[in-house]
Amino acid sequence: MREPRFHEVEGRSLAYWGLAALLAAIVAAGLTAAYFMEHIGHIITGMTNQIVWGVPHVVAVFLIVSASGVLNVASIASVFGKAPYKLLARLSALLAIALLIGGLSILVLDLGHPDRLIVAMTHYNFTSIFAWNIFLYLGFIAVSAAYLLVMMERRLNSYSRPVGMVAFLWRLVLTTGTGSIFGFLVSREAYDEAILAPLFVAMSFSFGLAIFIIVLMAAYRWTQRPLGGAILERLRNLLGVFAAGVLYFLLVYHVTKLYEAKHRGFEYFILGTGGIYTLLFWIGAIFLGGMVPIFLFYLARYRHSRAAIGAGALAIILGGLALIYDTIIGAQAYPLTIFPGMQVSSSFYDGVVNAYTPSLPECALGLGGVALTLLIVVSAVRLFRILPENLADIAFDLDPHEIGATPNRGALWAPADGR
Amino acid sequence: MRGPNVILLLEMMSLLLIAVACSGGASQPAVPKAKGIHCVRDTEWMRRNHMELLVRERDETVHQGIRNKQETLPGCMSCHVSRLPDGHFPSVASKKFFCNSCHTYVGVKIDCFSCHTNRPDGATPLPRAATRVDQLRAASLQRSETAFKAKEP
Amino acid sequence: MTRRKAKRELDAGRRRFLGMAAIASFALAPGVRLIGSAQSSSPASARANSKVRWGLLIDTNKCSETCQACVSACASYNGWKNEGRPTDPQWIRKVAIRDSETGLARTLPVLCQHCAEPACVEVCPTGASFRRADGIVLVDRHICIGCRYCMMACPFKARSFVHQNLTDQRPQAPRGIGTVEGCTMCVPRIDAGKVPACVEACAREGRGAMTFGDLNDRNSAIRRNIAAYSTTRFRADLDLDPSVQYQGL
Repeated sequence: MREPRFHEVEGRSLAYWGLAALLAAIVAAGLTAAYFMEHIGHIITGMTNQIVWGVPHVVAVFLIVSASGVLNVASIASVFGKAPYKLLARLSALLAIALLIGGLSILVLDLGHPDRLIVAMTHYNFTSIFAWNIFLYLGFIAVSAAYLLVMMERRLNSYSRPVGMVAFLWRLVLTTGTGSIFGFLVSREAYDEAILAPLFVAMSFSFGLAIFIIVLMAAYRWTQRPLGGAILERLRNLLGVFAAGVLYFLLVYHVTKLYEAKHRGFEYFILGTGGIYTLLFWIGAIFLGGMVPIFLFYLARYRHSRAAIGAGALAIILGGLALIYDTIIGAQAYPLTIFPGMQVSSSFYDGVVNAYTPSLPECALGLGGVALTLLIVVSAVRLFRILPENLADIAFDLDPHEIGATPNRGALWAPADGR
Repeated sequence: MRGPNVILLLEMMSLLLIAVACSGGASQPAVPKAKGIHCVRDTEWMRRNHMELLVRERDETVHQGIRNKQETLPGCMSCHVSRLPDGHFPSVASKKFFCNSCHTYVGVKIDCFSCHTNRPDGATPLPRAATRVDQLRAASLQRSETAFKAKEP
Repeated sequence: MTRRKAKRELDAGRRRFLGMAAIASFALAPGVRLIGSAQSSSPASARANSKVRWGLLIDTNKCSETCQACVSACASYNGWKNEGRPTDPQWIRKVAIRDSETGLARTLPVLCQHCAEPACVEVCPTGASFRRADGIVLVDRHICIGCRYCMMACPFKARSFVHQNLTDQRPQAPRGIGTVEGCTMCVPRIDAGKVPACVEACAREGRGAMTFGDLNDRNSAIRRNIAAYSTTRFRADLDLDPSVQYQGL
């Protein structure tokens, strides 16, 4: 394998600055929303005393879950020793850090008192999985940064395997922790299941890789650097397995709940009578997040279609958002069962499905976090040597004919000889 | 030892600020006059350490249920907040509000009154004239002060 | 140094004062009303006692469908207002339940159940949710960051989040924007030896459906009732051991 050359992107074009400006504007909109949420109060959001976690949490959990999953690409290289993925490892670690910062920013800015962040850092209650997650998140950023450093600094390269191993284990614990934020909640029908932790791990594998593929394809198209079909198809095949994994854990989760009489009411709600939540489950999580990508990835006629890879990855992202929306908001919409078998009514919405309409500030805050993530990536690839100059199949020593990849269609730059 | 030094420096600076604030001069903040006969501690002590007292009282009250009728925020309010000539109480944002008279001046933001009321409560008693208990407390404070000074190198 | 010195002075002053206050309250405070029979008279400067476990027993047979006395007493003592919006706080609420088969109907107040194993306390990342030595579950709003995880965890919907700026709070019940709140069992009243506002109102305006007292005291009315009649604890499957129990369900 030839010595890979990483290079900063030039970043002088109008398009580059336009993209950066657009992202910065969305970040500013998110910060404005957070400012008003803090000073006027959560009254300006759609959140209530019934739906206490809303769209900001959906986006934040999606980003945090994806952050740990996106690091898998680097782990495949250094932990599982697959050399071709080394070229992708830097982008993988960078995306992991950026996604986590984006998600964490949303979570923090949605607090009732973001000004008391210092309290969250100085007062810990160790029976709280939330408190553990604060450690896990901050640690993850540190470990990923260290990982990026040992990969980028030639003299430290030899540490990339042990550091990569720590990062890989850390990310598994982190996603288990994120899933357990919900899994440990005994009171709600939707939660109180240990399987939420592995479901979240599977989700992270799938969403993270989908985001990685989209960012990779966009970066190489916009910088006009060559991106080979073979590596994309390898990533795609992996993504298909991950998407199927999510479907599997989702199936087990719902079958378990259906089997227990006390949870059947909730299952009927999500699977049948829940209106938007039912729609999001079937159209979003199952169809878009599972069926569509699996068909696009494995049907013979789309075998060499990059558009199919991009569309499948996008479908997984949309389906993933729908699934997390259901997991967080659908779970709160379904009423708590304090009096089993009784008809219940009160002024505090006991016994009724709780209404929730996302508001503009919440969406702005959520999008702001996404934009912050992308802004970090866009800036970092210009400042640091994150992206290889050449990801054509030949750079990986992959034989395009071996797995039937197309030649580098759309590549405007051909690798020069004798580099 | 760097941490304590920094804190010490900050404290010296804030004391300096308070000293400047209280030293007379044209820019001196106008501290509204209190109603009671004397404060729960010596005025000089309170100027420097009221936050220690407030935090202590806060934690003990909330977590342990120790309620000292006078050393409470409503207790402070009942003495230090009076109606303005127009008949209203000063608002939390007003410079005429007791805490603000100094806090605005030294630029230290306080976050007590997003939850606590900043008006006197008719039910909370004003500090009464010094009793035997007060005198004993004052004496014990004095003693601990002296003992502490003696130990200080 | 100044900070540490101030702390020491506080300590010395406090020890001295507490001693005095304890003596004073024995000598000077016979007017403090006793709850039950054998419990402490709770002088205001005394520490919450772990030998005591405050509890409520609510007799749903005596709870009238139309009566809102407990709710309005709580709202007025603690200064919260329900204007019918889903963002409004409700520390206590009247819930109507009906068995759809038999038509059996009851109304009852639901409030913080002050669990011995509270889910809210377990999940709180900063320790702002805590259980006092005498069993009262509270939020220390000085360290509450407003994450609402406790509201996700509570099986009884006992907590509310303050969605907007407040003014004119009650001096005895500070509450404010961006923090989570709920029934405090009227802790300032308990510390002063009185019963919670809802219990007082129920006895005065209602049919006396609520009994307040020390669950650990074998001679208290609440303990004798619990021993004599079968009572219900909500979500008993979760084994949270609530201090609020119901009779007649």
